Amino acid sequence: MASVVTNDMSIVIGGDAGQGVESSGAGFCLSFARAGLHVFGMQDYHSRIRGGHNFYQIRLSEKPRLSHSNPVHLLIALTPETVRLHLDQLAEGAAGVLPERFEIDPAPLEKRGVRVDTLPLIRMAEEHGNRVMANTAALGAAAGITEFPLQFMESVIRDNFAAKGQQTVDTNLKVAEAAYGLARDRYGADFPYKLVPVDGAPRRMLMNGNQALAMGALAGGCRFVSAYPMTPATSIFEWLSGLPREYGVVTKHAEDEIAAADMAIGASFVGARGMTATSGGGFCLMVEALGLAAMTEVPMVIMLAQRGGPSNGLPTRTEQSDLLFAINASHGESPRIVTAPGTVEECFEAGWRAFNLAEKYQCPVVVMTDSFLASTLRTLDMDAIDFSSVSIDRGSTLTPQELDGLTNGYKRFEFTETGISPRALPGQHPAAAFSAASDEHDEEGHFLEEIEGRRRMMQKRMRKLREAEREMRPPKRYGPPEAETTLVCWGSSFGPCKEAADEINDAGGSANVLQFGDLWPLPEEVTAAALSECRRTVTVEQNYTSQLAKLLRMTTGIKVDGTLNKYDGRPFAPEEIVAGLGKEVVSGYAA
Amino acid sequence: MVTRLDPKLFDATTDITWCAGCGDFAILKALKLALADLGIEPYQALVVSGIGCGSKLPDYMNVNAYLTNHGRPLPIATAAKLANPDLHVIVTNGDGDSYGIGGNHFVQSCRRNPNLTHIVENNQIYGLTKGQYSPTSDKGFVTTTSPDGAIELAFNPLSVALGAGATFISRAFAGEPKHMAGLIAQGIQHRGYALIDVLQPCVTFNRTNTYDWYRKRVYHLEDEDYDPSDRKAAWEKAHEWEERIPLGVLYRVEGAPAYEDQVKALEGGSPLSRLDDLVKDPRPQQYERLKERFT
Amino acid sequence: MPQMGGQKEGALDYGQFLSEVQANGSFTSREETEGAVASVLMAMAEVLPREQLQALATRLPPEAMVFLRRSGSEPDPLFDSHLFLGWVVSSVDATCGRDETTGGLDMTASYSGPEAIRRAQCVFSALKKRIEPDHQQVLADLLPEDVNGWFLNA
Repeated sequence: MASVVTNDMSIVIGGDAGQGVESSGAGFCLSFARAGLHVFGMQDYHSRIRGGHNFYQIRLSEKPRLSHSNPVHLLIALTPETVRLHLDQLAEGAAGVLPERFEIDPAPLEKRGVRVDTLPLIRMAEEHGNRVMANTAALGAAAGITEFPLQFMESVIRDNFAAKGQQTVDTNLKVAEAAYGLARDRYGADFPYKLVPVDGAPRRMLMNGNQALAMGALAGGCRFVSAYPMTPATSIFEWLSGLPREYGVVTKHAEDEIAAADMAIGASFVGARGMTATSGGGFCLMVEALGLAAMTEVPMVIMLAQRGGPSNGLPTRTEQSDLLFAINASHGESPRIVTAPGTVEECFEAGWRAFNLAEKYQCPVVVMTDSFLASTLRTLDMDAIDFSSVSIDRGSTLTPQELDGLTNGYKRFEFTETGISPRALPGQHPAAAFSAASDEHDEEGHFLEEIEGRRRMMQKRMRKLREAEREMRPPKRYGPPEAETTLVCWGSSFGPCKEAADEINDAGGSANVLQFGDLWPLPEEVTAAALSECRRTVTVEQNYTSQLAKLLRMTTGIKVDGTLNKYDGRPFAPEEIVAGLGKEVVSGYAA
Repeated sequence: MVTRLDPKLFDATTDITWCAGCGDFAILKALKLALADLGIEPYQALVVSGIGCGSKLPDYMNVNAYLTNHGRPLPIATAAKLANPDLHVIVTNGDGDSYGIGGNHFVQSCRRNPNLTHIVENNQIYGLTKGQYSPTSDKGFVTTTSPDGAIELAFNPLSVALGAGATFISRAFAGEPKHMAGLIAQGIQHRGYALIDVLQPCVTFNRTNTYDWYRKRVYHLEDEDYDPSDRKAAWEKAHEWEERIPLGVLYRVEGAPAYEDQVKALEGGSPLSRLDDLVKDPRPQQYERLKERFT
Repeated sequence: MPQMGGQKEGALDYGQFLSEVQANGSFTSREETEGAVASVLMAMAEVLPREQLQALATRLPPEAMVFLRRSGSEPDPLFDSHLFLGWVVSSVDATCGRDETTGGLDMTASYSGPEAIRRAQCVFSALKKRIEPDHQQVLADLLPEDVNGWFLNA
């Protein structure tokens, strides 16, 4: 047997949609998290209820990981298709498990030096419970192969099936136990990848970007959410809808994304913190609402979880192709703020910060994630979500005392040096009833078309963008300052870029990462300075047209030295970035 | 007891840009009177509109006014009411805005039953774009976009509202502002979605459906032996048009809960009041137990 | 402007009534004149009490009397000069032609208000010739604000 590798491996669980791969994978992730391992659990699925290959790829480590990684060491295949599709991903010495009713051609497996056995998972499931529990058998088998103590799997089984009754819990436990024993006996001694609980590891949470965003929004005072279901944003809305009523979050499943965005505006107009969450196609429908919010200076927050486009595109897959769209969507010119958290922790902060920015600058704020960040599970230390770090800043919203000080003639859109006008809320004070028109308007909000009035109101609105730019953060640098290559990225690509840079540096190379989180208004001077310090810049983006590279060039005049692009709907793996460097397309469209 | 206010409280100093004789003047007057009669002060009301001649109405009043996108005032108003249920929220928009581009929002609002008053300035024409046929234009109506006459059947807001489950369906005529004010006041007092479809002549572009045309046809349901709780009767009345056109409350359901009455999350306070509380005390510990869900 | 005052005639001749209005307003056709007469009388019918309408009707030729028949019940107390104009504007052509530049019809609506007032006064003038001065004042008091001024000054 090869030398044993402990707590550093990747597992894939794959099968058809409708075989419960998602919940099995998530349950698997949780059991490892409870054992003190760092987990990165990426889901990959088709846009269908039944059929089509789905899988969960889980990276396990004693260090925090920000990305999945190849190769894969253990394959839990619920279908032969899974073996065929993932064969090339498998490491030498990897193992696989397949239910007994399938047969596989051993030749390609032998050629790659991997072992895939059929195990009587279905028979065991039927013997102790029923056929549906074949997943449980597969998980038990995986634990057995890696000699991972079954108790962690058992605790998750208890939690997950508690709602279905004790009998279901018990039979699942029996199925898991039987499969565990069989698999350990069959593979245990020969399989070099082992998982053991980490002594003294702190308790951790297993969370995805959507959940962190939703918690951030909640902590930021968001109590109104209107949305229309759209993958991969749906779970933000669902999570907030499922909160106990004491939290007081009013959620509204709207008739369409137009209404969803408008409802967020309506709630924000009267002073609540309202938001909506959507993906590309839904965001298309929200464009007119963005213009309205900007024109009438209503704080509005949109969580935009990107997916593959255009049109219905790749509904369940990842892409970063809406950056320039999000910045520019809507006719006319108006202020807005666009941010893009890169990690789950950053999602939490982005969730509450968006509301402060929106209220401070009285404009729309778009928080961009993507399918990869939105739905990938990652372990976080308990204090990574720090509610005491949250502040609620309502900007120039008038306090009751300030309202009492108003005389008649309150001007909702008063010209100020910053462009930010004191904001009264409808219904709060007799002296502060006001009009807000989506047509161009005067300081009191009434229709206006005169030349000078238009010029001044336009300048007032756009001054807010200049003000906001001062608050926008410069890109974050990770890794050695003097690196030979700088991977320039935004949003979720940070994870694979960081892992790639680590890999390069560990191998004696020299790379760092420049991660953009605040994308609009892009702070020009600090951005130019950060780019100028780099020796060789390569943008790494999940899109075809290198949208960040274009934005950087548009804003600073600086052209990056190369671009790496991926637009197949699958997130970059760090190995792909490492392999791609040197072969990247230089400052142009990808091939 | 409600203290009646002077409708002049709602007068604004803005220039009104409607054509002389426009039926919207009567709607503006009736709305001011209804609010004043109910003792609602300008700052306690929010009037939300879309785009079009009629949608300019809120800008011509001293009130909280939100003039929004074409077709969109209903979802905006719905959320405003959910976020601050203390506001009296009224929607005023035209037939194109309500029944055309905003048609889905209209249908959804009927079945949703938010506590809103929806006044539709229905002149059967697009006025602000200078004379194109609208969803409520009668079949055969000749305009610049229907030179051979409108081919579609006219949209019937009352029967659609009835079919979609609206709990207060009424029709007014701009030629009778006092009667209209009464209907608007009833609509505001109705708990739930109240539709007041106002037949409102466009004196410039609709030379068919004039004051005279309506006058010859309209009659008051309250003058007849009519029971507005009778759904079948309402269905019949909703389809009267060619010869006689009923005014008044066609259909009313008493005691049905409004949408916001059924939102559990509103029980302990509105999204607005809860935010006010959070500003004073962010209570981070309140959220701590949520983390347990992820372990 | 139409003639003020003049002799009180018991005149019941519709043709003569129309001719007077047509002359007052320089209307180009009988149809246009009749449209103006009808719209103004119908607007008055909306706002005057029934007994005043009956009294007024006795001073008019039978062909004009019909326009004073109100189909609604009591006058709406909020009936105002805007509504009055609404009835009259309906008889005014408020469009010029097609607007091929920006689309739609080319409006002439900004003239229609003054034109409607002018038409109302042309009709008022012919009416007043048939009504005693003190009765004129009674009618004026019953007309909406602004409309009473147009009436008295006609």
